[in-house]
Amino acid sequence: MVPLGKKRTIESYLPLTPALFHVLLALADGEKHGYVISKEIARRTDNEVNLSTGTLYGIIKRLLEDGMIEESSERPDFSLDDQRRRYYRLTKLGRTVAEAEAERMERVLALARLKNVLGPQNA
Amino acid sequence: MRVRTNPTAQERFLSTLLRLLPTDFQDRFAGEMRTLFRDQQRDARDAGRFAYLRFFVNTTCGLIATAFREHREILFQDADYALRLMRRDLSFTIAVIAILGMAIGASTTAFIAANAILIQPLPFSGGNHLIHLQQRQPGVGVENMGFSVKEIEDYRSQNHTLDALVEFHEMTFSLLGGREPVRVDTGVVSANFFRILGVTPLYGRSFMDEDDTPNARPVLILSYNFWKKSFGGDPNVVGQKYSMNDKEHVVVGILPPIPQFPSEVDVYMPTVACPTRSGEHAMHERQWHMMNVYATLKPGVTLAEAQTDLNQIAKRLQVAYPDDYPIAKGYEIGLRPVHEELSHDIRPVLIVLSAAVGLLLLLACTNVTGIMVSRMLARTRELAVRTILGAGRNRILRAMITEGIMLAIFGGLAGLIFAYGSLGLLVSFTAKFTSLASQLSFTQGAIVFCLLLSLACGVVIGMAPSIGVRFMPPFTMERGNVSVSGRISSKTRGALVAAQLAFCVILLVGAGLALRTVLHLERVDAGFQPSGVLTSRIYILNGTHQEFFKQLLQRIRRLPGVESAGLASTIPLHDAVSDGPVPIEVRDAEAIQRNETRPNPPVIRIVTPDYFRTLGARILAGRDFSEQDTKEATPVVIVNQHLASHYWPNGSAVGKQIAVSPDKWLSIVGVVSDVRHVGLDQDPSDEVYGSLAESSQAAMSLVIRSPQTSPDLGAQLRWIAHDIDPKAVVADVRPMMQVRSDWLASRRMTAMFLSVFAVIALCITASGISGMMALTVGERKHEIGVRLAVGATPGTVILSMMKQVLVLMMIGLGTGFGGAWMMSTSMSHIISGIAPRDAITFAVSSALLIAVTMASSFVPLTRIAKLDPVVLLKAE
Repeated sequence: MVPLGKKRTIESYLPLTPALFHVLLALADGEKHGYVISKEIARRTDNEVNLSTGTLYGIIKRLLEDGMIEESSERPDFSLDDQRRRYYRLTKLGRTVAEAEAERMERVLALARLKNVLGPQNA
Repeated sequence: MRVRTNPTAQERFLSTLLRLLPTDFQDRFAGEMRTLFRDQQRDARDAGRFAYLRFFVNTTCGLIATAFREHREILFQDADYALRLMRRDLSFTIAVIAILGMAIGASTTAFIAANAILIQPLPFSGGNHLIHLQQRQPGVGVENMGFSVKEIEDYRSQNHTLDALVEFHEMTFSLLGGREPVRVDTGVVSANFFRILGVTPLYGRSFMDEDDTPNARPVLILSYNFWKKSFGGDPNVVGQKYSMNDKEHVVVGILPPIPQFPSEVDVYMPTVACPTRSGEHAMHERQWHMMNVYATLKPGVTLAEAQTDLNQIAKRLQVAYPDDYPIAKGYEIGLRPVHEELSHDIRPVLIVLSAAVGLLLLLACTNVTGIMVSRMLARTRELAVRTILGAGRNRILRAMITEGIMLAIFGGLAGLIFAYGSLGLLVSFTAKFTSLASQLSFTQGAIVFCLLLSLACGVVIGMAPSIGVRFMPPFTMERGNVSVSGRISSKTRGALVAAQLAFCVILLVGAGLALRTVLHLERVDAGFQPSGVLTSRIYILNGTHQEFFKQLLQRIRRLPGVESAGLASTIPLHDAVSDGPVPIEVRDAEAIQRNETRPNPPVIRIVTPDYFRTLGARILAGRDFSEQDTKEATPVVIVNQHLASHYWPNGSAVGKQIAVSPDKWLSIVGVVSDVRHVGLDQDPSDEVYGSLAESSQAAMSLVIRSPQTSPDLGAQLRWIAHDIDPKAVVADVRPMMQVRSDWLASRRMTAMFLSVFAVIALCITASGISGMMALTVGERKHEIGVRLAVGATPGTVILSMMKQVLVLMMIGLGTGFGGAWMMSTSMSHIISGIAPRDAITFAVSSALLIAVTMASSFVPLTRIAKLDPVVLLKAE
C-alpha cells in the first residue's frame, strides 16, 4: 500500500487485474454506466469475462478511489435517462494507466514470440 | 413519479447479500447495483435455465468476495492508522498495553489452571468414570473409614452395578539395592488398577492378574517422578531387581506422568506383595479398614442406582456381622467421582482467584475505556475533519473499534508472555492442593483463549467511547458542539471512574479477608512452641523397634545443645501421615452417657516420655509418661483437654479409665493441652495419647528441642540412626517452624495473589481518577478562570471540584460494598478465624480506597492554585 500523501508512479498501479483492465478498456471509447460496461466486456470477450454486480462495483470503487475513472455529470437526454444509473468515464490518469498496461502486455507478448511460446500467426 | 413495487424474492436475496458490504459501500453503490442486478437477471433469464443459475452463483460469489476484500481493505487501513496513532502517543500505548497485559495475562493464567483442573477430563481414559467408594459411619460422623479385605471381597462378589472394583492403600517400605537405602511411598494396588484407569506404562508393562496371586514373583511399577528423580529417567531400570521387605522385587514398568491419586507415591506393588495386607489380621478381620476402594459403573448404571445396590450389601453385612457393624454407628456407602475428589480442595480457591482476575479484567477494561474516552475528546477536531471529508459515523466507529482491538491484541501478547512466565509459580501453587497440578501447561487452548479475550476487550474498549459519539451532534468544529460532547463525555468518564472504584473495593475486601485469615492463622495458638524444634521421620525395617527408638532417644539427648527429644506417631501439621480415629469405651455413668452423644471418636497417637515437653505442649493435670510406664506396668494413657472437658467437665480426668479395645482398660495419668494437629484452621478434637512402651511402631516422628538448631544436628541424627541400624531411614528433616510455614504456604500464596491483584487494581483506579481530574481541570479552565476572576479563591474552587469526586466515590464505594457483601460469603471456604463479612476488613478497605481516591484526585487539582485567571480568560 502506498502511504497517503505520497504521489504514486504509473508503474505502481501495474500490473492490473484482467477484470480491472477490461473495465478501463470498456470506458476507453466514452462514458458508460455499469450495465453497459458489463455487457461490453462480456461481448468483447465472448462471454469469457462476466462481471457480476459485486465484482464490477468493487472494481469501480477502486478505480474511483485511485482517480482512474470519475463520475460523469453529463446525462443523456431526459427521455432516455434512468436516474438510478451513474455514468463513469476515464480520467487522464486512467487512460495513462491503461496505456501503460497495454504496453506492458505488448512487451510480454513480444517476449513470448521471441521465445516461440506464441506463434507469429497469433500475433 | 416512480411507482414503488414490492421487491421480488430475488431482490430480497440481493438486499441480504448487499448487507455484507461495508456501510459506506452500500450507501454509495447499492442503488446502482440493484439496477444492474435487475438488468443482468433479465438477460440471464432470457439465456436459459443454466445461464440463470450461473448468474445467481456468480452474483453470490462475487458479492461475498467483494465484501471480504472491502472489509479487509478497511481493516488494513484502520490498523495502519491505529498503529500510527499508537506510535504517535507512545506513553499512552505503553500504559494501556501494560494494564491490559496484566489483566489478560492473569485471566489466561486462571484459565490454564481452571481448564486443566476443573474442566478437562483426567488424562487417562478410564479416570473419568472412576468412582471412589467411601464406607461411612453416619452415626459417629465418620465420612470415610476405608474398607477391610473381607469387605472388599463381599462388595466385589455381591454387587450388581459395578464393572470392576479395585483397591489401593499406601505403605512406606525401604528399597534396597541402589546406592543407599531409600524409603519409598508405595501404592499397594489390585492387579487391574491401571487397566481400569486406562493407563499404559511408558516403558515395560502393567500388572497382570498372575502378579497378584500367592507365590507370584514380586514386581514393582515406578511412578514417573520417582523414576526421573532416582534413576535419572533411565529406561534400562525395567528388569532391574531391588530388595524390599526382604524379598527381591523386579521393576516391570514405568508410569507416564499422570496425576496420582489418592496420593503421590514412588512405586506400586500388587496386593499380595504387601506383608501387612497379606498378614493374618488384614486378611481375616473386618475391622482392619485400611484400603481405599475405587470402581467403575456398569454401562447405563447411574450413581444413585449403584449407591442403592451397595447400601443393600451394607445392610446385609450389618445383619450378618452385628458385632462388627453396631447399629448405633450406622453403615452406608458413599460414592464420589474421582475427578471431583481430585479438584475438591482447590475448587473454592480457583473460583475465588478466577473471580478476582475477572474483576481485575473488568477494572482494566473500564480504566482503558476511560482513557479512550478522554483521547476521543482530545481528538474531536480530527474526528470532525474526517466527518467533513466524508467518513460516516459507522466508519469512524469501526476505526475506533479496530484501534481498541489493536491495543488489546498487543495487550494480549504481553499477557501471553505474562502467563507463560507465571506458569512455574502457578504449578507450585496448585500442587499444594491437587496432584492435577502436573497437568498444567501452556496449551494452544490457552493461546486461543488469550486471543479471544483480547478481541473481546478490544471491542469493548473500542466501542464504549463511541457511546458518546452516537449521542453527539454531527462533528463540527464549532465550539458549542465540542462542549456538548465534553459534557456527555464527562458523564461517561464519571461513570467509568465509579465502576473502577466499585471493582477495586471488591478486590480490596477479598484480599483483606485472605490477609486477615493468614494473620489469624499466624497468630493462632496451635498448642505447641515450634521455635527451636527440629523434626524428622524415622523408619526401621525390622528388629526390635522399641530398643531402636530407646537407643536413638538416649543418644540424641546426650548431644550438645539438645534440651529434650521425644517421638510421636505423628506430629502436628504434617499432612503426609495421620492417625486414625478409634472409638473408646468409658466406665463411669456420666461419661458413658456423654460417649453415646459424642459424634467423632478420638484419634489415638503414640508418644514417648518428653514428647510433650519437646513440642512445647503443657501437661495441665497429672503427669507425662515416664520410663516406668513399660509393657509390664499398669497400662496408662494421657488425654487432651478437649476430651477431658467433654467426658469429665466437673472433675479431673486423671485416674479415670477408658478402653480403646474391648476389655483393655487404660488409666488416664495426665491431661495435656490441646494441639491443633490437623490444621491451624481446625479446632482441636478429642485425642488419646498412648505410650510407645506399650505399642510397636515401625515409623515414628522425632522431635528435638535445641535452641541453636544447626544443620549439623540433622547430620548427627542420621549418623546416630544408621549407627544403631544401618537399614534405618531418616527422612524429612525439617525445623518445626518450617513444618508450620509449609502448612501455611498455600493460604499465604492465595492471600498474596489476591493482594497483588488488589494493589494492581488500586494503582489502576488511582491512575483513572487522576487522569479524569486532570482532564476535567483542562476542560473547565475557562469556568475556573471566570470564578477566580470574580473573587473565588483556589481553595473554594478545589473544594467544589472535590465534591464531584466525593459523589463518584460514594457511588463507587456503595456499589462495591454491595458486591463485596454478596461475594464475601463465597470466600467462606478459604477464610478462617474471621467472619466473611468482617467489619474491620470492610472498614480498612474503604479507608484505604478513600485515601487513595483523595490523594489521586487532589494532585491534579493543585494545578488550579497555579492558574492565572487573566491568562486563562485571554486564552479563551
